[in-house]
Amino acid sequence: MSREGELVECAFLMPLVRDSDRKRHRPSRWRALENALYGEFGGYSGPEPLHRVHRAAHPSLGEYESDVGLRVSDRSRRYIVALPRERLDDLRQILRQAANTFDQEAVYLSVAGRVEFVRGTEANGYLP
Amino acid sequence: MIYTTITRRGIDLEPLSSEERAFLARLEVLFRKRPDWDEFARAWGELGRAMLWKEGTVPVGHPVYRICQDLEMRLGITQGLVAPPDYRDQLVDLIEERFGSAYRFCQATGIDQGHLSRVLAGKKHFSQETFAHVLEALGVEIVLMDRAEVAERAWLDVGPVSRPEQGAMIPAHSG
Repeated sequence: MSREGELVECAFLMPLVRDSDRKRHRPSRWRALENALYGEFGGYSGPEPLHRVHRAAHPSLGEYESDVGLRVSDRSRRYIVALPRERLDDLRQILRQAANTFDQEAVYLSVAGRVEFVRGTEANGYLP
Repeated sequence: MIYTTITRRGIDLEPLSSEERAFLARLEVLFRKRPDWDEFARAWGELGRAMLWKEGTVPVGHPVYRICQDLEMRLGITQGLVAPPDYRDQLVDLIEERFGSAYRFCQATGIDQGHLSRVLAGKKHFSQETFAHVLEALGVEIVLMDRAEVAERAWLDVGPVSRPEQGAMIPAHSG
């Protein structure tokens, strides 16, 4: 059993629109994500509205260049989940399914400040 | 007393405890101030822990939890951040209500669960034959409705009263 000090803070972003057609997500998609987070991890902090800003060599889908030369993504919701390190793969699996459910090429995930992009395949399935 | 969700699903309020009713009444006050979508999402989780769930597990699927989510989605829709519900959201609720899970629904109907997931995620569509099969299994019919009316319902048709201006949607006390 992990102690609280051994929890690792994970933050991920979920854009408000689908990659393929730029449409907003329907209510049941957001509910599925909330159900998964509450069901698996007991909850989360946030969500917070966020426009992710970074310097990228090439803008990806959903990003645009601001007037000061920064790449800015669509508005996202940022969720923060604190969980034992040994459960990181459980979160990644949920995010793979979320990537499919929310029609995202990849989901931005920060694990204790280290960034990774979680991609879903059909084999990963969808959020229930 | 029945709370009606944006997908027309009824949630019976009678079995709720006085603590749960008090929580929902406080949440309704906040909801009527039309806070930001994200702010409301944080607020119901925090208030729920403070008043009901304490250090325990948040009861996913409980009527109170479902009402919280429903109110959150109504705000998201009216603020232009969430798409209005369509037939796929209704299918999700009907499948849960009448079969318990997508797995059991697919077992009972022979519909491929992966295909159902892709349809619900907006990546595929049912064939006419499969859609007719789904409707038959769920015991529902198609009703055509003007899109403007669908969007209006997201905000206005809350709970046992039809319009929020008419009064409380969640009674603080039974009877």
